[in-house]
Amino acid sequence: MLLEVKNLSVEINEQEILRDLDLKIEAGTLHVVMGPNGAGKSTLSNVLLGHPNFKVSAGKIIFADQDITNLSPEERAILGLFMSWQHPPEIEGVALDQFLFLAYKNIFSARDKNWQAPSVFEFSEILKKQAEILKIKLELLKRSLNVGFSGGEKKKIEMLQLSLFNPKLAILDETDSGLDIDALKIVAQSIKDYHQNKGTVLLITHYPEILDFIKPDFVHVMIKGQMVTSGGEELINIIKQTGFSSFIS
Amino acid sequence: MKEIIITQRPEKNKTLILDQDCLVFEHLQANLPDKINTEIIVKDNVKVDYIFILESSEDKILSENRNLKLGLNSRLHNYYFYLDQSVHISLNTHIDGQADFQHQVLILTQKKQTVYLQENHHFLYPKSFGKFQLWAIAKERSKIHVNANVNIKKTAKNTEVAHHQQAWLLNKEAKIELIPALSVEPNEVKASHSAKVSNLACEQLFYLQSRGLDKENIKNLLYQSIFQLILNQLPSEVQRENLANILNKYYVNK
Amino acid sequence: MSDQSTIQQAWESKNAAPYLKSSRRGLDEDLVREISQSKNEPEWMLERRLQALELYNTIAKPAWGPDLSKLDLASITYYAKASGTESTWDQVPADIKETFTKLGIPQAEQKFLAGVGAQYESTTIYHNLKQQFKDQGVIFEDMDVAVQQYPELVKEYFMKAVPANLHKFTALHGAVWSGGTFLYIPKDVKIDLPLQAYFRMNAKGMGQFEHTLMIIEDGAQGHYIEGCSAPRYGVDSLHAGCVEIYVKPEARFRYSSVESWSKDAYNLNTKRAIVEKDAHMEWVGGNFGSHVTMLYPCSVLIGEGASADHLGLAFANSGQVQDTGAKVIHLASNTSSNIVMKSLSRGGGQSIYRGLLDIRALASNVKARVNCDALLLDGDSKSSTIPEMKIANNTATVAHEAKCGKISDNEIFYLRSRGLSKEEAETMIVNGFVEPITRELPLEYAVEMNRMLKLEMEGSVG
Repeated sequence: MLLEVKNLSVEINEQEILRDLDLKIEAGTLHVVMGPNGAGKSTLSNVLLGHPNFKVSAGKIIFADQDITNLSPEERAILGLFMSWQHPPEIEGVALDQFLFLAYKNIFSARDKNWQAPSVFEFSEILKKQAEILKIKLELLKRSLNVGFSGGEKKKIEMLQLSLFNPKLAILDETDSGLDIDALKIVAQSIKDYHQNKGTVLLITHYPEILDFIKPDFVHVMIKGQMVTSGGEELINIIKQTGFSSFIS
Repeated sequence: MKEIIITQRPEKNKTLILDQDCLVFEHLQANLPDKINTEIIVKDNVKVDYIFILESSEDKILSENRNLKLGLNSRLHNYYFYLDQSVHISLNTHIDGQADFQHQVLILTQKKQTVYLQENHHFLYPKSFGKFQLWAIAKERSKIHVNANVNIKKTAKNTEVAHHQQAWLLNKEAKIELIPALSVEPNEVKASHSAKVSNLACEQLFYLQSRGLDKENIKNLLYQSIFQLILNQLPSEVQRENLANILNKYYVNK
Repeated sequence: MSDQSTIQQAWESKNAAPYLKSSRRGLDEDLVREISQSKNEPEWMLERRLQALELYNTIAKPAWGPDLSKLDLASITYYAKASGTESTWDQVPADIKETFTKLGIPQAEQKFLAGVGAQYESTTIYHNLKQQFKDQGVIFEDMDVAVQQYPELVKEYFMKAVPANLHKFTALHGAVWSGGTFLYIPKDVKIDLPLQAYFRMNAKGMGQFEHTLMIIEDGAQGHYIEGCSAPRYGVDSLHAGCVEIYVKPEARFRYSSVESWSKDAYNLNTKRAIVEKDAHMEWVGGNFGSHVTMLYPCSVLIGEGASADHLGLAFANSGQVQDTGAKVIHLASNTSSNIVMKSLSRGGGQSIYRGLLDIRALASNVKARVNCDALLLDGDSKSSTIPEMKIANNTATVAHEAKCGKISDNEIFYLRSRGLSKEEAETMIVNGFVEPITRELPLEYAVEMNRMLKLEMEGSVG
């Protein structure tokens, strides 16, 4: 079991957002979590990543046989946890290519003590190749991280990181929101490539459209901070036809 | 290109008359007098790159009064670094002939240091070009105050000026005050200025952490990115390496 | 259009001194007592006036900003009771009526500006409004009347936002203030109609030390417009008025003013709003004329989530100094502010933008934007921008941008190639330049302001 969430309860400002949540993800599988707005989906992904504002009041998170419930975000990243953000922040002053290079070195050197970091030039070649596949304008690489980037460009930069870092588990938080059809296809392809390359995916979405391109192994429905049901693709059809109303009881 | 190197033990009062193309490398480190007066005159038709580094981390306030004069068809590109030192600087520039003046400043402060920078740049002659760029990063309980006045006088028609300031406060107790002032008399002028204060607060920090960077990494990343911006503009590879070595002290390059 | 006799001269020659002959110059304790007595003020107001007078005598004129040395404080008439015989519409000089017409000002407003306000009271619109306000609990009164009728409210708020000790001219104001507007909007009451200065009762013409006090209670909404683009004549040369606005939690308020002052006037008004939790304040303003204007509307954001917008335009013509700007003080977290200032100068005029953005240590996650652009319409004028940013909290995001230059030759050429004359092209471009401000004004004011701009550009305003 790559990820196991056991009886997880989470609160923020003393308000409970997740209640007694369970989730099990085997390595190599593709899971989808769906739910209406306010269900707590983003909270779940933020908590898995270790966002300091959220407090785990009960339960635990076990990742790659390690209890990560109290680990810092950078520790979790190094263990192989990755999240593609719904709204990646703009960070003035931090050059995108420099940031990617540093993160790349951190993550790979932690995985293998004998790993040799590429030179700046070699890395920039690696970056360029990935950027071309994702149809990202090369000049964005030299700019301050996400500053002035369009929504689509920001999402593609997240996908760029996904392919660069090749994490054990990729949590994709509403990766499809705000994208036009071309960008959606590119993002979906990134996810497929990663998954086919032995990646494990936890896709959080409330637009069923992306699922026209990606076939999940498991579908979970989240309502008001709880996982109410799990199943296969048939759940998607129910959601497409009647929304989430049949799950709210 | 001639190179003039000025380090250590500067005189209290000095005048530098630059009458041929050169690169000046002034690096002031230790044993500096409390008050320094410097005058730099760039003669007509002369091109100068001026790298000025003031770092001593001595526990006192250094004050300097610096006057710059640019002649006709001259070019002066300044790269000024105020590092890890409390300073009180008064800088006055007179651009007395059509000239190309670039003034880039990097300020790094920490602990309880204060940098007080008062700049007055006067454009007196037509068709000059001015580019002003400031980067300031304040850590811990330090304070940075920059009052930069760009003054385009009536006689300086067709002057083009761009004036930009960018600052980051890395700790709760750091403070900054920026006044990028612009005074324009002729209307045949292109002038713009901007100031931006950004931060590495909660959301941004969390994002970078979620990519495996710890707080130390992140701070260094910011420094590195900004240093790169200036280093890329230095006139020679040698100087780039030189400066990179000096600036490296200010972040840990893993 | 007559330019040999300027409108000012016409006014001065045809109008007898609009003040009582017994009014005197200069300021002393006796005058202050006389003012208070003639208004029948309660003891507490007289005391405040006297305290302010003391402050006035100790504080010096500001050491920064435009030259105020020629302002002879000793020779100004600080108070004059309106004479028993108010002027009638017929007595107003033709030239002035002409300017009003050129500017397209509605007749009712013209009368008000000319000091014949009493005539306006007899209209039905006004009476209906008065009834509506009474039903809603809205108070919209002359300030002098408010002191008598709503003393508890006035006592609680008067000169708390703008204290007398702020600077010499607020102290002066505190001593000799007279007239002005009092507006109170009760909780959750939303007034859609923009309230205009001349709606209120007993307008005695423009006073130079008017006090405007507005209290917008929780969840309430309103919009107040002051002034008009017509030059204000016949009043003395120093204006040290004061505007205080209290925007309570979740309330929204906009204060618009389009002002033009006579060429010798010193316009030194102080305007300030205190904005509480999740409330929103907007200042929209246009400043024309005067000899010297020093005006920096200030928003103090004291409640979490409070926000303020400042939109302003200043036009400095020959011999004029428009030293204007905006001040926003962020005292609480999650507050935001947006400042857009446009300044124009011509014929040797000087326009100065002076701004202050002050983010205090306890104010986290503040977002602030400042945009100030200056247009120099000819080679004789001057423009300065002095934006001060003081940031003491490291979670703030601040962006400031400014541009300065002349009207683009390319743009003029393009418009001329489409059949516009040079003047028409310039006017069109200037209107475009100030559009972010005019679009926020009610239509008739926007139209007035555009016409005012046109007149200023022609140099034909006296």
